[in-house]
Amino acid sequence: MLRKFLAIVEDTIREGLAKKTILGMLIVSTVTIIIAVLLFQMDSVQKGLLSPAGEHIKNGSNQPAPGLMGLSVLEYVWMSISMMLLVASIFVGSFVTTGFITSLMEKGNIDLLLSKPVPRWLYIVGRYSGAVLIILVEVSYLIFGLWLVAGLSLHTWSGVFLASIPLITLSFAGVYALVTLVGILTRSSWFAMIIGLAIYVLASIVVPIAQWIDKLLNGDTGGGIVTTVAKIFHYTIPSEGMGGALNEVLLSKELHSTPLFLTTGLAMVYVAIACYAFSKKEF
Amino acid sequence: MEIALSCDGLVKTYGSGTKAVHALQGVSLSVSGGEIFSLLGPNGAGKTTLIKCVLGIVFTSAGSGSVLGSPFGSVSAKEHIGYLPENHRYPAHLTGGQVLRYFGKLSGLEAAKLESQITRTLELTGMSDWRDTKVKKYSKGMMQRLGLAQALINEPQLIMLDEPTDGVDPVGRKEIREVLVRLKNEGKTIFLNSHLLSEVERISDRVVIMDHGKIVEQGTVEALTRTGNIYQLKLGNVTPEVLSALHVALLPTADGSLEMSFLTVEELNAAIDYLRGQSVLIESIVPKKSTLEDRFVDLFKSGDITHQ
Ligand SMILES: Nc1ncnc2c1ncn2[C@@H]1O[C@H](COP(=O)(O)OP(=O)(O)OP(=O)(O)O)[C@@H](O)[C@H]1O
Ligand SMILES: [Mg+2]
Repeated sequence: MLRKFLAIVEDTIREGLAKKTILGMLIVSTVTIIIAVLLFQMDSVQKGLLSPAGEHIKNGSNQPAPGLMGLSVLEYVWMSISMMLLVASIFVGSFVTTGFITSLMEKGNIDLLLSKPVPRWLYIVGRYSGAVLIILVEVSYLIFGLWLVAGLSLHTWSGVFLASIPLITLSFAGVYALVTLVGILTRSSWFAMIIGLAIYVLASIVVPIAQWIDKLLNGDTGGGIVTTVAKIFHYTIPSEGMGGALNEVLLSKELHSTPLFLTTGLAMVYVAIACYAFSKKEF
Repeated sequence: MEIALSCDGLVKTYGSGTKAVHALQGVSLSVSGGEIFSLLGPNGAGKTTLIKCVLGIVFTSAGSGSVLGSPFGSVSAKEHIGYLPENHRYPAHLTGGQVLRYFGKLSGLEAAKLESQITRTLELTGMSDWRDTKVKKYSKGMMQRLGLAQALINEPQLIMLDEPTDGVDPVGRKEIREVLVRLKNEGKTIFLNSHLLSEVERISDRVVIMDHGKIVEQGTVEALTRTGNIYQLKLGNVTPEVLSALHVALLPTADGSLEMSFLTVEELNAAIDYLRGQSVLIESIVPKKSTLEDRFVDLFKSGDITHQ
């Protein structure tokens, strides 16, 4: 079973390497690292990065913003980069990998795969794992590269920066579970990507909107039926709250594990539903 | 002889309501171990659907079936089945060798066995020189040969081939036929789907002809191609008067001989006596066997089969 699983993962990676998009992502990462090397050579940048963030970013009353107390500009910049990467890996990552699910079901290919002594769910789990592995490598390459550049130029080595590697990968894995399910149901990579990402975005903004509607309807803030429904929706979509968790780890060095467990659990549930749907499909 | 594959009252309906397609409407057949079995039928007859039911690619709507002693679609049976789908496509970025390695691993072959099987199946299908060439550079016939190699990678007991000679040149077809006969001699069971009747009749032990999801004819190639008492006679110095006095159905053929049909051998002999009495020279008498293709065309033209 393990050998068959690895064969499917390997095939997914091969298919990925044959695609220009994944190579493109590696090239963009490399360029980013090179730019960082050049920037970090400059004295002014070095000095600026090591100074306390509070000196530069003030709130309305010209006091350092409370969240930035005791943080260097570098840490602040790092947090911004990580958040950008989180969003990019979810969106760009889904764009690049959604084809793995639909190419599996192409005519002429699927018949042969299903004729092999392999339980159907293994194909989904294998393809899903292959895609997550590719994103893990991409994210690790970029973040580890930047961390190395920063460490070498500024002589500060903060291990907590590297925590964004598993957190960002997990965020992608959560959303990709959703994309996988939609991909199997619709057999279209465009639908999978657009619908999957739309659900993710909607779930992340739906609670404040629902609270606003409840306020309009019955004047009170939150707690209405619309808000309750919105919250249920919000909490059944994976990767919601992962941005917050990442932020917290990088700024206050505290890890709140709830979003991590929730995302892991939901990703497993969505992949399981995708496997079930796939096992009932005819080709 | 043990049964490799059998089904009883197999029904497969795609879709439902007004859009329902009745691809199989109660098909019962059985394939013995070690034989070459061919499924024939016009486009849309349900041949591919039957194979897909066996392999669990689609699910049967009613009826029962077993393959190598397990229910249709069972993972353990698939370990001993090789399959060449129609219109198969392999990932274009892989080489022939990599395709075989991938499907060999999925078939559960261990590493050492896998490499020797890759070499062996490529040799068997005449593809050894193309092992390290990307599949996207293959011609159609080469793809088909690779497909056959792939179907044999796990040393299957039951080999199911859907149009195996599709797109292959005459030499290649002959080679594929030879491979199939060789496999049969090794004791393998071969289940063939084809429209190329002339191919099938050369190697098949048994044939089932299907149309619109139903079996319309089955038997040995021998039995299906026997056409009663038609003889081809080549006559010298015969006059139309002599012939008309014979009172038999005549059909002139391209080489100048005549096809005559008699109800019994006695009638044939009476005709010979009569012709000799009229001093007609009989140059040759050949009992005529129709090809399976003739039988097939007859079957579908003569209204034996009612199309709904
Ligand atoms: N996935 C499917 N969904 C709906 N209908 C299908 C599907 N696959 C096949 N059919 C229909 O089922 C019938 C039988 O198709 P099948 O492919 O089994 O025929 P076939 O005998 O293999 O034909 P051919 O010689 O052209 O390969 C056809 O009418 C076809 O349109
Ligand atoms: Mg077919």
